[in-house]
Amino acid sequence: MTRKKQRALLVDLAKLFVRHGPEEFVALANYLRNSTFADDLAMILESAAAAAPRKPTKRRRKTTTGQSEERLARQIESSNYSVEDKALLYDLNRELHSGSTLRTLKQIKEFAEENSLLAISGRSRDRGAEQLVAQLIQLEPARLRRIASMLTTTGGVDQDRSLAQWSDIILGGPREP
Amino acid sequence: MSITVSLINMKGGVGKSTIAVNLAWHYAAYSNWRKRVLVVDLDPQFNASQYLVGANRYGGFLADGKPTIWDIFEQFTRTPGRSNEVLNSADAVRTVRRFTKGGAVEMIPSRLELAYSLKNPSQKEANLAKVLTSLSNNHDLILIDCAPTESLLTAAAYLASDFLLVPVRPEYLSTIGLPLLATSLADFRQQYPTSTLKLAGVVFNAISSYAPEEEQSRREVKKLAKEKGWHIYASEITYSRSYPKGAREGRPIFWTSYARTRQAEKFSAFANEFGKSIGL
Repeated sequence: MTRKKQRALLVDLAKLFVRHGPEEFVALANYLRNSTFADDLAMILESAAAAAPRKPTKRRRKTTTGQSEERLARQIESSNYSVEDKALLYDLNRELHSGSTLRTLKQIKEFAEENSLLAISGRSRDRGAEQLVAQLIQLEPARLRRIASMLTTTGGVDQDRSLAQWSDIILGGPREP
Repeated sequence: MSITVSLINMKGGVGKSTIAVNLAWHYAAYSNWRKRVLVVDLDPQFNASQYLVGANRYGGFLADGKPTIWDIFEQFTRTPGRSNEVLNSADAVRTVRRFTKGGAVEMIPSRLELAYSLKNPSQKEANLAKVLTSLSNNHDLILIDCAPTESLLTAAAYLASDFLLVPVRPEYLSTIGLPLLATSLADFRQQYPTSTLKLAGVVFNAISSYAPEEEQSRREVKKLAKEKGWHIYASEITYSRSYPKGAREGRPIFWTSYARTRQAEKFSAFANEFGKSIGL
């Protein structure tokens, strides 16, 4: 033990001496001299750990699809949209959550991108649908209606449109029958 | 019953395919229309097909054994090793997109081999009309994107159509396609005097400015249209880079993020005017 560490330990002991009083401190010193101290020490630490109040852990509440749909429906209800636009939003909310439109997360992400909405960051289809509806609720009525008209039951835009790909089709296709 | 419209001009590059595809999208997607629209690609260059679907999907159309527009024309041609069964018209129709509210864009794809049908055109011109008649209960509107030359395909389009829509660019060479079309129509009516085909009207496409050349061409077209009794649509389609960009990306103009709202609105105004004019 270095002098510095010795000094630090003595300071801590002095504090404990003041806190607990001389009698308790002498009794403890006698106990520490006892040969069973080392065995007792492990047991003392275990029981101390068990007695310590458990820190509550923050558990992430899982939102189900139904809850998300209901929450968004309440937002639609309290929005300032016209009755017709609210009806449109209710439909969108239901269709997107049920998966009857934009069936995959990829389609939801593409749809958001195609319509210049914020990128969908959700990793599941349910979360993606939730994020998309949440954005639609914020739109101007005219833009909402325009974007809503683009929702399809089929897939998104085919991306394979390069000249090279068309050349393969044209040059590699069948010739005169 | 569907309404069938051929987009035609005897000059190429006037925007027939672009307008056909954008009209299809408009009538299928917009809430005030919600129509089931079938685009028939009647051009061996198959530009409408290229606009509507990507290369892989198109390649699948050629490989899946279902009929293309070429098969419609050649279905009665006897060749060794080829089945002589009459094709099922519905098999030729491919879905491009279905909208949640009922509208749909569908297509009959074309292929390069259609050009070979032109080499042996006899008795094939009525085949398209027969197929489209059998499909008419499945669609509200059928748009035929025509090739820009007088051929078997032109006669087939006339026979299958209720109306013609003539896109014209206000420039010298484009306007010369109009008298050629007038001659083609006159010949057709002589050959088929009972035809009820009507010319719905002429639409000015790719309007850019009021440059003298554009103005002169416009005046000349209006004069010819007056002589022939052709209607000219009040709504004009302005030039926009969004059209070629939309074609590259497979999107209609009103769905391109870079389309200036005003230009998309111009197209929308024309589509609404045209739709009403044909009783859609």
